[in-house]
Amino acid sequence: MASTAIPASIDHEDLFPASLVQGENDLHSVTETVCGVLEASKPPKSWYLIFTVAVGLLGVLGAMIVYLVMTGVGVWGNNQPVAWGWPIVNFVFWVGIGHAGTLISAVLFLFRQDWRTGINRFSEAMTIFAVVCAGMFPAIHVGRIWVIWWVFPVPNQMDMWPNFRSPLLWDVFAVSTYFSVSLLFWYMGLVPDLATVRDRAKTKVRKFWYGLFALGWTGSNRHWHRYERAYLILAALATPLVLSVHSVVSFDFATSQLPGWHTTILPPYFVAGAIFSGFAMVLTLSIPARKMFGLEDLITLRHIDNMCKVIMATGMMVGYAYSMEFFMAWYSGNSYEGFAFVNRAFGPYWWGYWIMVSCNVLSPQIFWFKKARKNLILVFIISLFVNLGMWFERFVIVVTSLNRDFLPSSWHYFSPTWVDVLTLLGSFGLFFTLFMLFCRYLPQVAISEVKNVMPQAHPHLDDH
Amino acid sequence: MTNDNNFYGLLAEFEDPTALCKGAERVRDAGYKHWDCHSPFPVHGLDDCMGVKFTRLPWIVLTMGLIGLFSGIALQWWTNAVDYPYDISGKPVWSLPANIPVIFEVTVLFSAFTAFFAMWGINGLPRWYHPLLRKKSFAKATDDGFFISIEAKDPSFALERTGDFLNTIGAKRVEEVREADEPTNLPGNIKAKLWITAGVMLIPVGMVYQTWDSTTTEPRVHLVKDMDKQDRFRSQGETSMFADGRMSRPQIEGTVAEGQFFEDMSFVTGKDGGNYVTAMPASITVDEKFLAEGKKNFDIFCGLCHGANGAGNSKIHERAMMLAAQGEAIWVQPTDLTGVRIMDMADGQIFETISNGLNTMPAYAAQISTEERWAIIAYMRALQEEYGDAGPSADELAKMTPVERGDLVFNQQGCMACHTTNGTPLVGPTFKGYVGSDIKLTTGETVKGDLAYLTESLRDPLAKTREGSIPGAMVAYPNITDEQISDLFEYLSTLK
Repeated sequence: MASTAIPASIDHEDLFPASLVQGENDLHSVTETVCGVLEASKPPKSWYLIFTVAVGLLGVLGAMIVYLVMTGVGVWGNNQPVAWGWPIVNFVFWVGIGHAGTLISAVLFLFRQDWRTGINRFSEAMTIFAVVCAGMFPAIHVGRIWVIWWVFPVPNQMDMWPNFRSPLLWDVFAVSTYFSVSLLFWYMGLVPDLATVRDRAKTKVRKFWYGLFALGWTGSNRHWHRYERAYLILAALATPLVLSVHSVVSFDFATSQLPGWHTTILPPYFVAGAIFSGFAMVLTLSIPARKMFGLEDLITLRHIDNMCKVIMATGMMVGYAYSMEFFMAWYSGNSYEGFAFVNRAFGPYWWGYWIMVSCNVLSPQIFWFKKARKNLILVFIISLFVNLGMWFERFVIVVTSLNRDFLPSSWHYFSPTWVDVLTLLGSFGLFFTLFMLFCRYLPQVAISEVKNVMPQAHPHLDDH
Repeated sequence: MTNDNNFYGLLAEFEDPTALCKGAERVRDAGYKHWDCHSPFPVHGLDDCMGVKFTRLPWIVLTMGLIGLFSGIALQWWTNAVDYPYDISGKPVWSLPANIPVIFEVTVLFSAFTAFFAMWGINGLPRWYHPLLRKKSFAKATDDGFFISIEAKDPSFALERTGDFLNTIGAKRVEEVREADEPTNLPGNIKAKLWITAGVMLIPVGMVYQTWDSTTTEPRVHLVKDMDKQDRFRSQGETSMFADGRMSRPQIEGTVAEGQFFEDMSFVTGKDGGNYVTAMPASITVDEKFLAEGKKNFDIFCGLCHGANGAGNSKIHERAMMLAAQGEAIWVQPTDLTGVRIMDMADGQIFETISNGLNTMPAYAAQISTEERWAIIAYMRALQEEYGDAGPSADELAKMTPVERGDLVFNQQGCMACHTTNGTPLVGPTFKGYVGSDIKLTTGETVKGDLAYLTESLRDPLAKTREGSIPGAMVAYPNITDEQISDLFEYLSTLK
């Protein structure tokens, strides 16, 4: 049931805007395309290049963590009054990126946005690796990392329990629940595809390992029935969860009494920012990856177009939040709040604020033009801008609010140390190492889900 | 049915989802029970065609989600409100709004784990072996193939009839599926290896448990020793940083530390420019209420030892003297506060004594407020007016002999509290035979018991301490005059 060949002169997408898979693809060719990547004897040269750099940076991260643990958090630039420096900035940055995956898998699934199938595996993997990077920062920020288990309610000989009324403890539960549920969701989606890889495996090693993780899946319809129900339930659970995680992260700030943090707009503003940065990261990853691994038919221009629109919408939401913060600072009549925001835009960190505004609010505006959304290089560059801008957003929130607190005598200009910088770079190493391994060894596109939205998948029964 | 024990059933391949659904309807209607469809993706509409009953999974998830909800509540309530109540800024230990985020997360966690694990559980997965997976052609089931399998154990199953039936309902191809002849266990010694790995992994867990469950007097092992050994200054410690080698630094001259500055310094120190003040600070008005306040605190803090009327003869004193007589205590009689020595003492000096203590008397600055200390002094003055004995007048003194006057000084200044005249040693040496005797000092030197030594002992008792005495046990008597010392010496000279 291959689709009819179309002359190359006609834009396929314009002809069939509804078809999610481009080109002449049938069920088997989808399997071939996706499995071909991980069955190739060697990955593309660019994979080696990125992987080598990533592993190198991962080594840097390891060295920085050892140095930190053996010496103490004094190796960072954190000091009074900016006790929350880059580690928290990086935590919020990564956990924000980790929002797109579950949003695409769960929220778009509930909204029956079938176009999600091309990119959901990809972005779920990104989510998990980003949350790994995010979770690492608070863990090493505690300094005495060997007592990190104190944050969990583990019965102990000291009869000591965590304080459940602290937003930092809510964070522990929110992030760890989010990580666990995302991992389950991701793995559950992987099982039928791992079975596909297992059934195509030629070597004993592949047969064993893919067979082990495919759990003996036979594509039984009785199994599919429960599987789909479980998938729907997980999506329904993950949807409020994904909204809760960044809300809870924002509580770390919002429940404190610091001007610039103590606002009720923070939870929705953080969630919008998280989706914004997450989609930007999906674009940053998928534009090169679809080229590198020949997935252009599955991750199509339509996917990229949709993601650009999401970025533009969420970018305007964060822009609204930025201006609303200023409005409330003025309208509240609170002089401390007013000072905090004037200081944000025109104080010692004015450059951070304006980088944030130009990257997050101004740069996505170009996506009003369809031409811009189709220009992959431009989209890639804007996605990098958004990533940069969102990192600066967290930097601005954390540092500008803290560096000039209530007592002018304790004002202090925060500067990171080389350890701060290398740890952030190293976290990218961790992220890309995991991501490159995923690209090489696991199906990057949800094969069974893509097949499910192809026209061939629908039975034509008399009573339908 | 077939007698072949190794026979699993029949596998039929269909062209596409439409053919599969139509075939499934026929199998369902034929009354088969143990059969299934296999497809690379969930074919929508197939559930109805197969007559699959709706799964009970949502109910299981709901149940576990509710258990998660109440576990989240119970966990936080028990740990933070019962077992280890946290008092944070006086807020209630159990306040639901602050606990909602964690309740929510625990609910989602329980539900999600249940949805995941219960789904696999009901599906009978994971399983490491399935006869269908032995068929090469079945690999298409996860690619682009659509299959119906009917198991031999189905009561309606008959090899030829079922095979023909599958062909008539649109199967492209029908195959027989057999169980493996060889054992279907995990290959090789993987099982043994897994057991050994599991066992080895339990060792650190066991060690952690053992440490957790036992106590030790050894200090805990610290990977990073910075908690045990810190680069910081300890009070009273040594350092090479300052010339005097002391870590504690004296207050820098000319500075006023927080809490040190008062409008009227004499009110808090009892001193005015280095001299003891002789009157109450200006801010104090001595009236009945003030005296009553003084009496209250005098009875609480002072009267226990000095006696309710200040004469130094409290019950504690009586009891201590009884014990001292049996050699079971060393006791110095509390000062007679109504005696001449205290009557003549400046208010400022009494204030300093109450504030900072003296000898065995502890400091009371931490327990009695500044104003209350002045009130005690006012009440003490009232006691002196009531019970005090000013002693002979100047005229009368002039008529007395030096020895008589010395005897008077001995009693008025309370020397007898520590020194006897009959040769029995008390806390201090006896004065019998004191004058002219050789007195061995702690430094090893020997001095004569002469007027110079007596004067020095009264003015600066720490300068030369007699061997066997407690340094500092002897108090300085700055108010005593040279004439009085001379008279005292005359009196002591008579004690032979």
